[in-house]
Amino acid sequence: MPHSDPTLLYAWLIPLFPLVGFLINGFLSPIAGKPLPKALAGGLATVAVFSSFAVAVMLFLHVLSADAAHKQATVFLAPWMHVPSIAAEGVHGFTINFEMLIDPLSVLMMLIITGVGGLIHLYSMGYMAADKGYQRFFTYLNLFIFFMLLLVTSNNLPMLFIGWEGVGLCSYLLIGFFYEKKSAGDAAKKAFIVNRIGDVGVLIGMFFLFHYFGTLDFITGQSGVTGMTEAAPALVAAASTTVVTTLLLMIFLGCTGKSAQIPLYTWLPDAMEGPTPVSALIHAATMVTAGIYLLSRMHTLFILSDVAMVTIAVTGIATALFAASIGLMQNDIKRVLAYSTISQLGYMFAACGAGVFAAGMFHVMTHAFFKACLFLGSGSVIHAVEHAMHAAHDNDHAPADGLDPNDPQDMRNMGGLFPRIKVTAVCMIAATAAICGIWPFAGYYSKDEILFRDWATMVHGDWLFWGVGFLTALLTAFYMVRMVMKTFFGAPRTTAAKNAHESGPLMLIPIGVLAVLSLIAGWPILPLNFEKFSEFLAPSVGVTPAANPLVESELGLGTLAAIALVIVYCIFRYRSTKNNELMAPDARANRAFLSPGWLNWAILNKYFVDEAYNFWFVRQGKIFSQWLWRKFDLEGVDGIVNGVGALTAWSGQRVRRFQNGYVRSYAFSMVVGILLVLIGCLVGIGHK
Amino acid sequence: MFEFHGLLTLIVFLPAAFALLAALLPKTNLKAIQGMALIGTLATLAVSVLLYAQYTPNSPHQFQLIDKTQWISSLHINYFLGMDGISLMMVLMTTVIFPFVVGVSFKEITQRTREYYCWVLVMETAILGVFLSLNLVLYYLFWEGMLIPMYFIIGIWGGPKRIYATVKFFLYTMIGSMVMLVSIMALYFLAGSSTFDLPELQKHVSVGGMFSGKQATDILLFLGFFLAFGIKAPIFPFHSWVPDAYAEAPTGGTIILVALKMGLYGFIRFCLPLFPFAIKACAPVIIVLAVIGIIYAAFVAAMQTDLKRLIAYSSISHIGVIMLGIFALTSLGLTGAVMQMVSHTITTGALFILVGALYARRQSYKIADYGGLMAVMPMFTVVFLIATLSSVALPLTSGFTGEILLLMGSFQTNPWATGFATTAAIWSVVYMLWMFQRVMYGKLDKDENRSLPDLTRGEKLALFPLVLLIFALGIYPTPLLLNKVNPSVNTVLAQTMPVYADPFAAPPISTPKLAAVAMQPRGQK
Repeated sequence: MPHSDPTLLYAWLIPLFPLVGFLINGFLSPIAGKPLPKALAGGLATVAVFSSFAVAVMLFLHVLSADAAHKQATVFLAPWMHVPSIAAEGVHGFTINFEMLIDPLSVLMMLIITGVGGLIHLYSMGYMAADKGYQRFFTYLNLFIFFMLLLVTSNNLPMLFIGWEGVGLCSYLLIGFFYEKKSAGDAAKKAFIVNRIGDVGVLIGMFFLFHYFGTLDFITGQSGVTGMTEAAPALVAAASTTVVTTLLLMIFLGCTGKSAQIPLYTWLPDAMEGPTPVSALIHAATMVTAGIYLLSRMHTLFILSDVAMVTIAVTGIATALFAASIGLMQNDIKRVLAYSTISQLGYMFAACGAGVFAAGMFHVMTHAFFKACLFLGSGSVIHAVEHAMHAAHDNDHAPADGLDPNDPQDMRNMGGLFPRIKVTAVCMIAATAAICGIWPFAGYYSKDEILFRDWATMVHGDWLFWGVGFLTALLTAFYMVRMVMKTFFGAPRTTAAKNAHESGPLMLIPIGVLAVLSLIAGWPILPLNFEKFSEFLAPSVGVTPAANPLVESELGLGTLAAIALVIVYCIFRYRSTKNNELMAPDARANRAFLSPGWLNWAILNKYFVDEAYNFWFVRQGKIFSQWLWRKFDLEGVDGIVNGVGALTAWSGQRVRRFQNGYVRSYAFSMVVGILLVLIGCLVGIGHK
Repeated sequence: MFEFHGLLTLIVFLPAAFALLAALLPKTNLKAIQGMALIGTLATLAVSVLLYAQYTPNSPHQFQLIDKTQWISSLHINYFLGMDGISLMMVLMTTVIFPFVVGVSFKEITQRTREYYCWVLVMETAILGVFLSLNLVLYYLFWEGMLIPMYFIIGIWGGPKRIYATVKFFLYTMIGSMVMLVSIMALYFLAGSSTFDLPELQKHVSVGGMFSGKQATDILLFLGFFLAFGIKAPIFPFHSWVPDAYAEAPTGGTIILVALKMGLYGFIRFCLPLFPFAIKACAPVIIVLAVIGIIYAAFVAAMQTDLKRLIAYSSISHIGVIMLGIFALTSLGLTGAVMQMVSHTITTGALFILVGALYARRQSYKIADYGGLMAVMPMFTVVFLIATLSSVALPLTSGFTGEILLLMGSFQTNPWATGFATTAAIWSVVYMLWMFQRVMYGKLDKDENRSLPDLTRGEKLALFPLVLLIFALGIYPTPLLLNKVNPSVNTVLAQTMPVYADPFAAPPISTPKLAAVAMQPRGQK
């Protein structure tokens, strides 16, 4: 049954606005030869995103009021690729259209992207004001929003893939925004390459889907081929379980790349080289949740393979714990948040793997609020410290422990900022409470839901999933409170920290709005609670079975109490230790196996995963490629070619001697020839 | 027998006619010679647009706009030109790229200019002749004729190692051609055909036809063609002339070499319809070679220190992917292959123009001589990035449209090989982005680079149209290209499939049914 609804054609305005903003900022003005005034360039980009938000709200109201049969609709714009089948029977024609899918899930993502994205645009107008690449920044940012919207609105996998690779490209451009820094260029390249590994998975998944099921559309649209999500069980019956599992794992590989899960997470911490608003927008609120979005979009397929679901759950929960443990020891404020993002994304995958996609999506939303708030807040902190550093030119203490006294992102250069930047601090503490899962903040409702579901379903490894999730929640509380303590409390550790000043309203308003959202999202008295939320999403991601509220509240209270304990302990420890360091230098220097110092050393170095990847893949790859080029290609393949040439020349040189022009030697060879012929004849006669 | 529309003859010989005109101009009048060459290529482009408009995709005749007449009647050799959707795209691709070949040479070629432009125009005639000839002897003449201008273009106007490169190119291609000539002759005599015309020969290839019971002969004759096409394509392990020729040729010559899709075209036009049995037998080997080539060339490309050689190796890798599409023998794969041939020409052509622009500024192709160019050449960087992205097949660029169709089709028959080939998406990013980073990103630490000018007006004229084409083919391929190519691809496959499905035996079954069986996904049996 096709779902085409041409009356929704205006939905295409949503990606169109940022595209127009991108074209004006990126092409029209450079070709005309004059950059726009800063306020105009940034304003244009921001207005474009908020216009999309307005249209998204219209769509939201439409979907909300539509009757059950019309909650999902497709909007056809134009054909993209079309190859007809070669014969009528048994061969699938290949038809891919530019077609949007409007349903609760896509509308939700549109609202998050344009809403949070718009706030971050606004913030960037303040944050990037002094940068010479101002217009370039907004060009990239608008392009990113465009691709991200394509990703979440497409009705088929290839069009989703446009957005999927497109956001990867924008991520590349924005991580490498400060292109003169080598570390920025390296991080950008790393992000692109690691993401590409995942993208190959998505591509192969697409090949499988088309080959076996003949469709790449999510729901039935203009092409008339039954969409994969609708026909999933019937389609799967046609292929073997191995095929289905393989294809789903391939798609999931793509999700691990985009959403920074084990084993492809290493690019995200490095991605912090980009400007801070980028970290908030791309590497926390939107792009990295694309993997969870894709799982939810294709959930009718995923639930058909237990192997795939278990893999997702295990990967998610393992990543959550792993990343949280690394987050414990990081000194760079943005890297703490990066590992925390990876860890929270792991929670969302764990939710998907447990079959509660709605809970995963709910955490996507609340995480977008509080993590964007944290990143923007950290940007405000960095901004304040950096300006004070520029003003003071201070080098008042000697570098130690790899500490750069002029690094505005290092928490060891901060401390005691609370009275100096109060608004930022309060907002960040609110968001920290949310991420820790403190009642009544948003994270309490969303994380609680996931933990409880892992408890309630208990299909994959019973206690273990809940236990690991619980442990991760405790670690999360610890590293987040550690960050807050080191940044805002204690004595200022540099003069810069002493002289820090609060940022302007352009930056504070978005932080404030997000902090409020981190507080109230999920309140049962507001329409934004989880029950209403999953009810709204139901047409897209199915209805989740009713939970047992009694156990849920008990579990929730227990978790809450444990988290509160950790927080109190953490605050107490950091208040009582000198210089905000938990470990004495001599304990740190002791690297005996499994001693606290060793653990500290291993975690500080991120378990040496980057080093291992570098050694095994980059270094060995280079050695192998060098051998392939110098030895195999130049000496081997080309050597044979040149050798054939040389052989011809050499034999020519030899044979040339016979053509020496002396009659006597010609006569001699004639005699030899005649003799040979004679002998040949005689032998021949003898045989007869 | 006699049929003459004239358009194809016109387009083939138009560049040669302009070459003659240019030759008559005085040597010293540089502007007039350049203008003549540019007008010649643009006029050819105009005619090819006319062809595009004239071509009707869903006609019952495979070849259209036929020019056919007796030529050497004692040897049964006809003058026979004809066009289908596939050759239409090849012709368009060639005529589109040649004005750029002429344009980029304006500054670069300062010695013996009249000669240079004459050879370039003659070259265009030879290439168009190859794409449009349907008589094997006529085809062979054009194929060999192409060698002479190319020999001079590399040998006279090339880089420091030009003589080595051009001799290698010439001899290597020549060896392949000789073997192909033997195959052509043998085919003619074995078939007992009355002419060398392709449609005539094709009729003799069917179940119970000239190859029934002669598998060895069939495969040997196919290998004759395979060697010629494989060297020209180039396919691993016959690729080693490519880095030298690409690197030593002047920019214009390199772009011509990129646009030389004659080998790949030859596989589609001649090998598929004429040797269906042999292809069935040899496809696994070819596919393995293609996959090795894809990954191997990508690894080697990553290690290059010279921009031109890096792009040359990347070309070898891309050609491997196209081979995979052709020998998948599915309509998706073949259509994708045609698409990718066009896209590769445009994209790699743009990349070589960009590298040539760098060379014009700094007289160096060494990656190490650059770095941080983004600060002084922002617009150049953007265009370079777009070409790079099309080369790594980012969606909405032409490279993606070709690659996804091709791999999707190839997966239907060779899932494992396609799986390996798809990793090219990773390797291509490794070598292209690493190169991009080393040239564009980083600090502008070399004094010579500090004052490099951004794109000049001429360079913008050369690059913006190519960028537009990259996006046009990436965003709107169906009406532009796919609809014209699809029916022809299906005809070619229909000629290959019935025999392919059941080699060396069995009574003939109706075409569509068998094609359907051959195309059926494995899981649904």
